Amino acid sequence: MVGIPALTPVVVRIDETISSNRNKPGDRFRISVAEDVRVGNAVVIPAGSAGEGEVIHAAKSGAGGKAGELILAARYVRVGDVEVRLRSFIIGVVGKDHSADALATSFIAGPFAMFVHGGVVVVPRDTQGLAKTATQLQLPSVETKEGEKNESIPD
Amino acid sequence: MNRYLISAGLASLLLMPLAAVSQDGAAAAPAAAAASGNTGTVVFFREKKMMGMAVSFKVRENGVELCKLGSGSFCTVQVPVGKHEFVTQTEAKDVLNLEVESGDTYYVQASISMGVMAGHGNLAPSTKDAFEGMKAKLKDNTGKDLDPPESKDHKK
Repeated sequence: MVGIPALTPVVVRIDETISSNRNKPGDRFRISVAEDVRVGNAVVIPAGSAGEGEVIHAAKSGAGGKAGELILAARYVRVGDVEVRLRSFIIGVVGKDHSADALATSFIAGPFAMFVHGGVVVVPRDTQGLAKTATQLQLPSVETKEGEKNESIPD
Repeated sequence: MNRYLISAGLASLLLMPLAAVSQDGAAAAPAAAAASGNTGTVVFFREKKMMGMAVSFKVRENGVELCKLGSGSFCTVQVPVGKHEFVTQTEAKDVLNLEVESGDTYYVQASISMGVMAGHGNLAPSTKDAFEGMKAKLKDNTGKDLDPPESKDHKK
């Protein structure tokens, strides 16, 4: 078993498209780990581990130049039977405010301005962001495909 | 319960040394949050603009006033970890849902758009960069011009 400190960074991929005009607070969406998480040389959370995120805030674009708004959170990813809780992935995005210059923002992941279309915020599938593990935990080391290949190479 | 926690958070904010919240609101706040361990920091800010500059509005949660925002001002507020629903009401009501994690800082930009009489206040998620970019021109209004939490009058 390998100890994973709390607040270990985890690169997370959003596996479905989220829209400020279509989704509402409480909606769950699929996420997965985009890059292996390592402690030392050991892979503890392999890329591809699936989990779930939640829409925290969604506001439709509206009359009077009101921009769409979206805040997302990564909840957990599953590694074997263990649910690894995540935090600090909250992504807030605001669409184009027609009463002023365009404004697109996010709490942590930066480049969401490109996802704003006519005031509606659309976070496309495969968008990546950075989350952190919520608590300290112990996980078994997972062999990567690369590691397996290395082990199978004959002398 | 939530109202009690907000009141407690607001009270602790008012008791903090002034330097901790006003010299470098966003930077100083996490240290305070980390110290308490179960709170996060929300920075509400409003850009200085001609449009709607005569109108100020308050940010509330469960009827408790957290911040009064005039044109070109900001407030730094400590809140308990968990889900929050921040509300501003001028001609129309606007709600921002936020989930606060321990020690994290969140930025909320307030603005006002055209209305029939007083305009529509809006709260939207924002970034540290957006806040830092205009902070020098903003007045720190943390804890100022607020009715006591006990007040029954929640209207502006």
